[in-house]
Amino acid sequence: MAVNDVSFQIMEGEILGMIGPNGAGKTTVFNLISGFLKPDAGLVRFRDEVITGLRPDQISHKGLGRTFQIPQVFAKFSLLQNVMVGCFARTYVRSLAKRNAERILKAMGLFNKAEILAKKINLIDRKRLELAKAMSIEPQLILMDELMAGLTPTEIKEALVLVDQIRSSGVTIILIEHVMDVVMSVSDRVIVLHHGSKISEGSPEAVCKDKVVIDAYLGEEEPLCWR
Amino acid sequence: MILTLPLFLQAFMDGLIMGGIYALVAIGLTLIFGVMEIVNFTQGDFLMIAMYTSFFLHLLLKLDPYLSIFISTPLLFIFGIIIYRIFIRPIVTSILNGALVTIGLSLIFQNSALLLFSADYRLLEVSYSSVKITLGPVVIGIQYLIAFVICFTMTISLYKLLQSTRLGLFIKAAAEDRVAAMLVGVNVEKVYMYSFAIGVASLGIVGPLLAPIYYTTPTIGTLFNIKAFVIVVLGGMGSIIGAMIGGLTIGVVETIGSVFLPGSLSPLISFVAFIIILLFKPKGLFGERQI
Amino acid sequence: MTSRNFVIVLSISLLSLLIYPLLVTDRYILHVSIIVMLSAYLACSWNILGGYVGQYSLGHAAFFGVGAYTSTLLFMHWGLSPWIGLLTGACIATFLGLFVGFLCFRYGVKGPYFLLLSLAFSEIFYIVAVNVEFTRGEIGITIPFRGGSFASFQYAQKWPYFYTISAMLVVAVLLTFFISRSKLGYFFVAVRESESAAQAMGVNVMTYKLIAAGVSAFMTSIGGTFYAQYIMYINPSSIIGLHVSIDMLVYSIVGGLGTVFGPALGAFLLVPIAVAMRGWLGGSFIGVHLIIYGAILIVVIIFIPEGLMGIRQALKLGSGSIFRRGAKRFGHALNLKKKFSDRIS
Repeated sequence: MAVNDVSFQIMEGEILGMIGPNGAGKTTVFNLISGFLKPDAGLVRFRDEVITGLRPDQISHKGLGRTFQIPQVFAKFSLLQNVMVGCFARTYVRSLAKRNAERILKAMGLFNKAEILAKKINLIDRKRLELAKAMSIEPQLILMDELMAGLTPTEIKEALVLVDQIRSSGVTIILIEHVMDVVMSVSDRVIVLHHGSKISEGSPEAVCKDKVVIDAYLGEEEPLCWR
Repeated sequence: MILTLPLFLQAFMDGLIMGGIYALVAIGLTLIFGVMEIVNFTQGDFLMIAMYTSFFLHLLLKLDPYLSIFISTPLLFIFGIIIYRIFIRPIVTSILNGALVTIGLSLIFQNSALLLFSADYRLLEVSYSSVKITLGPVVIGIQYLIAFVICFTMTISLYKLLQSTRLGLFIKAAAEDRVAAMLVGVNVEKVYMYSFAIGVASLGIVGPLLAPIYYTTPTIGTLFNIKAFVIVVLGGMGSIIGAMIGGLTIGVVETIGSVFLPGSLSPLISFVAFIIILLFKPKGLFGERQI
Repeated sequence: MTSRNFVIVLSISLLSLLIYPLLVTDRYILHVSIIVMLSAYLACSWNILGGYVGQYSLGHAAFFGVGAYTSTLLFMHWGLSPWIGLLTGACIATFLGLFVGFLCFRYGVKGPYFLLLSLAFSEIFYIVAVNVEFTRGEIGITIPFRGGSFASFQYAQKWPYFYTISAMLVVAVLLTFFISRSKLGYFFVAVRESESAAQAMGVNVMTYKLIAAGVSAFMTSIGGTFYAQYIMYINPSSIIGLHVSIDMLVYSIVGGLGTVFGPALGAFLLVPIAVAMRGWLGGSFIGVHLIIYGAILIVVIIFIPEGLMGIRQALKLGSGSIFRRGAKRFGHALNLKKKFSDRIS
C-alpha cells in the first residue's frame, strides 16, 4: 500500500508543503488528488464538491492543475502551442487562446522563446513551461511536484519568484519538495509523509523540530532546520 | 465432421507437434520483445530465408536438411547481427519506430524473395519423407517427430541459457531495466545485439526442419508472423515458458479447429483469439516481460 | 505553415488540378494520376488518426473495403445510387472505427500493440470477405456500366473521375488544415505527445482518440466507394489486402506525419515509383516497388523522421548531423544524460 490513511485539508490561498523521505508516497497522493489514481477508500473534496473517482481531465476542468515531477511537455509543439492546449480548455477561439497563452508565457518569463519547440529547451525552462501549462487552465489550486528538482541554486531562486507570483494571483498551492529550505521558506504549513502515512503536520518551524520527523529523516539528506 | 476419439487424438498429436515448432519461432519473437520491446515483423521472414537456404543447399549440394541446420543457424546469427547494427540500433529506443523499421525490412525481404525465387511453392523432398511412426491410433511422420524433438530441446536449452548463464543474466537485467543494467556495468548494447541475433538464429533451426514438411514460399513469413504474434500474446510478451505453452496451445487449437472449419476460415480463430487476449489479458498467461 | 502560405499553395494546386485534364489527355497517364490522387487522399485520411493522434493503424484497409463493398452491394442488389452507398458505407465504417477504437483505447492498447490489433481486425474482414457468399469471395464483383452520369457515379471518360478525386483530396487537405489550427487539432497532438499532460490540462483523451478514429474511418470509406466506382471491379485482395493499409502508412510517414501536405507528398512521390516499376519490369515482378517502399520507409524513419516535410529542417542542420543521428551510438551521452537527470532528481 503506497498511501495509507492520509488526511489533510488545505485552505484557500495557502501554500502547503508536502515533504517526506523518498518513497513516502507523496507523488501517489498527488496522483490520487488529480485523478490519475483511484483511491480504494477515502474522499477527495475540492471546493465543496467530491471529486474522488473523476477522470483527470474532469478534475482539471474543476480548477485543479498540476505539474509533473518529470516535465511532460508536448515535444513537437512550440512553447506557445504547449500553453495554448490548456487555453483551449476554456475557449474554442484560436486567437483568444493564443492571446491568453502569450500572457501566461510572459508571466513565466518564456515569451521570448514562444516559437521554440518544447523538445529543445533546457531544464529550468521546462519547469517554467510546466508551470505555464498548469496555469493555462486557470486553476484555483496547483499541485507542484518537485519543481526544484535538478535546478541550480540560482535557478531555484528564479523558480521561487514564479511560485510567489502564482500565489499572488490567488492560486492555492500544494508543493512536494526535497529541497528543504525552499519548503520551509515558502510554505505556510507543512505536512510530512513517511511510509505512506502522515507523521506530522504544522507550521514549518514546528515540523522541523518534531522528533518523529527528525527520526524519519535520520540518515537521509541534510538535517531539516539548518538555518 | 464428427470428432471421433482416434481423430481427436491424431489432431491433438499433430497439433502438439506443429505447436512445438511454432513455439521455437515465437520464442525468438518473445525474446526480442522482452529485451527491447520491439515487435519484430521480420521474424517470419528470417524463417523464410532459412527455409530457402536449406532448400537450395539440398537442391544444389544434396545437403540433408538436418545438416543444413549447422549452416543456416550461424548464417542467420551473423545476418541478425548485421541487421541489428545497421537498422535496429539507431532507433532501438523508440519501440514504435523499431516495429516500423522491421515492417520496412519485411517488405524488402518478402519482395526480394518473390523477385529471386518467384512465388512457386517449393518442397524439400528427402528419401525418408514418407517414413511414419505409429503410436496406437496415431500416425506421425518421422520428419514431424524429429522436428518436434529438436524444437522442444532447443526451447529448453534457450530457457536454460537464460536462467543459468552469465549472458542470460545480462539479458534479463537489460530486459528489466536498461539504465540500471548500464549502471552496473552490463554492456547493454551488446546484450541487445546478441538477443536479436539469438532470436533470429533460432529460426535457422526451424527453417530446415520445416522445409521438408511445409511449402516454402516468399510470403510464408507473414503467415508464421501471425501465428507467432498470437502465441507471444497468449503466453505473455517476454515469457519463454509462455511462448512454449502458448505454442503448443495454438498448435492444438489450430489443428482441432481445422477439423471443424474449412481451411480458409481457420486463421479466423487465431485472429479473434488474438484480439480478445490483447484486449482483456494483454499480459498473457505468464505475465509480461519476465524473461 | 502559415495561413498565407497555405492559401497560396492551395490556390496554385487548385488551378493546376483544374487545367490538368485539359492538358493531359493520354488515358494511361490520367489513370495513373487518378490513382496517385486517390492514394494521396487515403494517406490524408490515415494521417488524421496516425499522424495527428499518433495511433498508427494497419487496419484501414477494412474501412476502405467497407466503403467499396457497401456501395457496390447496395447498387447490385437493390439498385441504390452509389452516392447513397457512399454515405451508408461511410457511416458503417465510422461506427466500426469507433467500435474498434473504443475497445482499443479503453483497454489501453497503444503503439505497436495497436498496430497489431488493427492488423488483426483488418485481416478478419479479409477472411470474411473471401469466404462469405454475399461478397462473392475472391472472384470479386464487377460493376456493370449503366451509363455515365453524376447521378450514377459512373463516367465513360476519365476526366470526371479526376475532378472528383481531386475535389476529394482538396477537401481532405482543407479539413486537415482547419483541424490542425483548431482546438481539435491541438488536442489531437497533445494526446499524441503526452497523454498525462493532456489529461492534466483538461483533454479527455478517449474522446479525442475516438473522434480521430471516426473521422479517419469516414474519409477512408469514401475513398473505397470512389475506387469501386472507378475501377468497376472489386475483390478482397485488392481492397482489403494488407498492402492497402501499409501503403497509407508509408505515404504518410515518408511525406511527414501530422502535417497537412505530408501524406499527399508521400503519395505523389511513391505511387509513380510503383507504377514505373510495374510498367518497366512487367507482370512477373509484382512487388518490386514494395522493396523500394520498404527501403525508403527505413531511410526516412532512421534519418529523416519528420519525412519530406521535415527535410528542410534535417538539411539545415548540416549533413554531418544526419549521419551522426543515424549512426548514433547506443549509449550516447544524450540518452544517458537524460536518463540520469531524471533519476538523480
